[in-house]
Amino acid sequence: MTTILFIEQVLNGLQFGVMLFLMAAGLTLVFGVMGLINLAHGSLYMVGAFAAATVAAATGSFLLGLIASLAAAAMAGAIVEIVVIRRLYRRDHLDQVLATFALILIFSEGTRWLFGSFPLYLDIPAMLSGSVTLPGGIQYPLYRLFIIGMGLGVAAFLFWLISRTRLGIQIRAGEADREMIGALGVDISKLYTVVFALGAALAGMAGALVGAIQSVEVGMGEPVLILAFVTIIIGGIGSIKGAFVGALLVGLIDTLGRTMLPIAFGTVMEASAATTVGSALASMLIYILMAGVLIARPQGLFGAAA
Amino acid sequence: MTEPVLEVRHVHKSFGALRASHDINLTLYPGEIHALIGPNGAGKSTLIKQIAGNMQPDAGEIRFLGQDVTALGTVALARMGLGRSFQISSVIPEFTVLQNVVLALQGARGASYHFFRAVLNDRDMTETARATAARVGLADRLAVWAQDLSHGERRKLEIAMALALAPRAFLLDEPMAGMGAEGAAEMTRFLAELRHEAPILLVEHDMDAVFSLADRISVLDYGEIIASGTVAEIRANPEVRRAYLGDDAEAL
Amino acid sequence: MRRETIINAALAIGLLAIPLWAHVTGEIFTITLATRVAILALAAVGLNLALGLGGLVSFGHAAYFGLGGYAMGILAFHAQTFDPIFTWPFVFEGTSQMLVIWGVALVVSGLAAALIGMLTLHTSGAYFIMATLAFGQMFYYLFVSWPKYGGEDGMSIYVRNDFPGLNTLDPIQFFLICYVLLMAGIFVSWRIARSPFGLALKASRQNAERVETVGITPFRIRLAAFVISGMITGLAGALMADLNRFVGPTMFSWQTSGEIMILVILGGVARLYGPVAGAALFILLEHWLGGVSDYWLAFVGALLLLVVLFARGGLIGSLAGREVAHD
Repeated sequence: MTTILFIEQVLNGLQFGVMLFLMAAGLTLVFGVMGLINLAHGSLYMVGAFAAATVAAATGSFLLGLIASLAAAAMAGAIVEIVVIRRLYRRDHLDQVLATFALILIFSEGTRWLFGSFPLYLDIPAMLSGSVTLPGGIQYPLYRLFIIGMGLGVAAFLFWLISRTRLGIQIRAGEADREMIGALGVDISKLYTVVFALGAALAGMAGALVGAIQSVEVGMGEPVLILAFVTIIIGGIGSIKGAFVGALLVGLIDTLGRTMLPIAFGTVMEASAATTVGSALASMLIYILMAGVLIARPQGLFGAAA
Repeated sequence: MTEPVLEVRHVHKSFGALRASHDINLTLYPGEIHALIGPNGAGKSTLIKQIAGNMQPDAGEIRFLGQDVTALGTVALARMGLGRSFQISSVIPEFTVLQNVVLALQGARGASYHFFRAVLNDRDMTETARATAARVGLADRLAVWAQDLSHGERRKLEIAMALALAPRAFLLDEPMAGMGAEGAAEMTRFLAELRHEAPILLVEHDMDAVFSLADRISVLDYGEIIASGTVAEIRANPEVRRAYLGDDAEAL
Repeated sequence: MRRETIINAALAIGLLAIPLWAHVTGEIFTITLATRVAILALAAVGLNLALGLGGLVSFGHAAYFGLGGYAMGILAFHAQTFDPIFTWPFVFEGTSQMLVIWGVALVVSGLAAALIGMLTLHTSGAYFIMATLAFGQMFYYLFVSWPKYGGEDGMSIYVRNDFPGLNTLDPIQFFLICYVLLMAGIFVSWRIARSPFGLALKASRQNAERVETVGITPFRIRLAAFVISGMITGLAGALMADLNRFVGPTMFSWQTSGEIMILVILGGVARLYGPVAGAALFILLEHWLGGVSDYWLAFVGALLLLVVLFARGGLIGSLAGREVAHD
């Protein structure tokens, strides 16, 4: 495997990881602050993608589509929070999981009813299409670099938000002691809605960004959701830093694994067996990593020690 | 000279800069009630957790029935015969009184891996459970769900569950907590008798109970045992007065 | 007699009577539906043991369902092609005998549950849910990338497997096999619930710390329950594969895990016949609502939401009322 190919895969892994981070950050924020597991997070990813595709197709502007994705996902998130999620904060995790699973069904079938079963397409804007030549002579799609940039930018924004703003203080305090911040006069309901909508917006944005390189279809969110769960387990629930590190780890290991394992097995087996075994193992790689974390450090890399 | 049933030797535990337990030494002899008292924040909970197997000391040794149990956890200690009650009542809420006591019996006998027999059809178990519940005065409340019991009854249930282990020692954490005068008096009488069955390490704030029950008292303050002795000795001890009441101490 | 017992009896008799009646009147399709109810109910009986009694929110029980299904699929595939599965350390050929297949399904799903349980049962609620979900999905991706056994498209099995003395192709006979296994599963569930093990399991759900102080190790109790639970669901998977004469990776998917969970919840968590009620309700909805609208799953979602928010006891809970204290 050439260096160029390797670097390309590293960049792909980074791009994947950064998108996972957007999903995982929202999930971990909601869990850290509100103590709620939200399975419908993948639906919000899907809502963002569909909003972006629809608006971009109607207006011809990717930028408008992106803004629409944020707005639509945040709004959907806020509505869902007010109507359903609010009733779940005091419930046990089983109820939260079931109720948000019910939301997945409603969102998925609802979207299918509105848009049909065929995927929508979201085009990469002309400004961002094509490849860039990186140092070392590597040709890499500009759009993917854009995604990496956006993801890192959002990460930086989140870190700033959490550590420098009043909202961030409320979030951190809420994570530490939920009952106390109510007693201190913080409007809990509003805080929770804001946090939920923020998480939703992040998911929606990820959906929109990825929608341009994959297709926009019903059910696109759940595989990403599950990977986000893996990320959170590895990184530690409630920790944005953990979500970031975990996401990059998962993104890199999964991407690199898929290309490198078949090649590695190819050195000891003949080609078709190597591909089969290699890709089968590669598909399990991050779960094996997750299993390892569960054994060695069950609270996650950056989670609070039990 | 009789062997102590429970022995704490030079136990240390720190949380960062906070010394929760510093060179703690404590013994519990057969037939006695040894009370552990001290102001809030003295480190009683931390010490109890270490003795009960919830927490590992940083240094030192804990011995039970002549064996080094420092590294053992709660389950192992329970099987060895350490009966425990909690400061905040901890029972199985959706079980009846009978089911709670049967559970404790079952745990003591190590009989939990039977899948096909009906536990409540086991005459021996249920009769023993009924008898144990009767000892603490819950004979007519057997069919009531634990969460529907009054506070005092729940404290009694806790004791019953500890009794069911046929324990060699009791670790009772504030059994009087939240009980009115009559309940506390009843519990005091009960514990006075209980000491003959197995010695009791009693953590308590209720000074009336402590002074009437304890054979020996150890006083914990800022993680250290500042005094240990008979009731009379402790009452007269100026260190103890200062710890509880500050420098302008009244007579205890 | 308690109301719940009457409801249970009604469900048991109804599930038997309806397909028998359909057999008499020649409505094969109804028998097939009833068979699906029985199999899904068995899968849910398995989950109910871990979830209802043990409080273990496993969102990855499809892993065992799929493993049971693929145990059947792989054994049958090798039987069809007369090609042994492996020849070392001993020759293991395929088979189309149900009894053997069920044995393999039980063992394989039990082992998987033991492994996954050991990895996840040390963790707390939220991690446990996410991890079980993730491991279920792992099996999905694994079998998708295994072309020998069909990959993403799955495998068709051209024969129905054999059971000594019966004509398993006859719908009513196959239904009876599934029904008997369902009743056996419910019986096991019932005995466990009343046993010392069941007592320790139910206690661990409510107050693990207390359980430790009476000398019982919650982790081991939960692990044992998880393994038994996985085995029962695995058996159901093998039966489903036989019914459909098809196995595919979607048997492992999060949707399937969710479906099994819906069955338990709609019927009533921890209720003995909850799985049967839930499965019957689900199949009825699929059949009737599905005939009306392609988007019937949205209504199931809405129903689930309503049940979770307002009718937590599920169908049986609503009909039979709150469980009263009893000895």
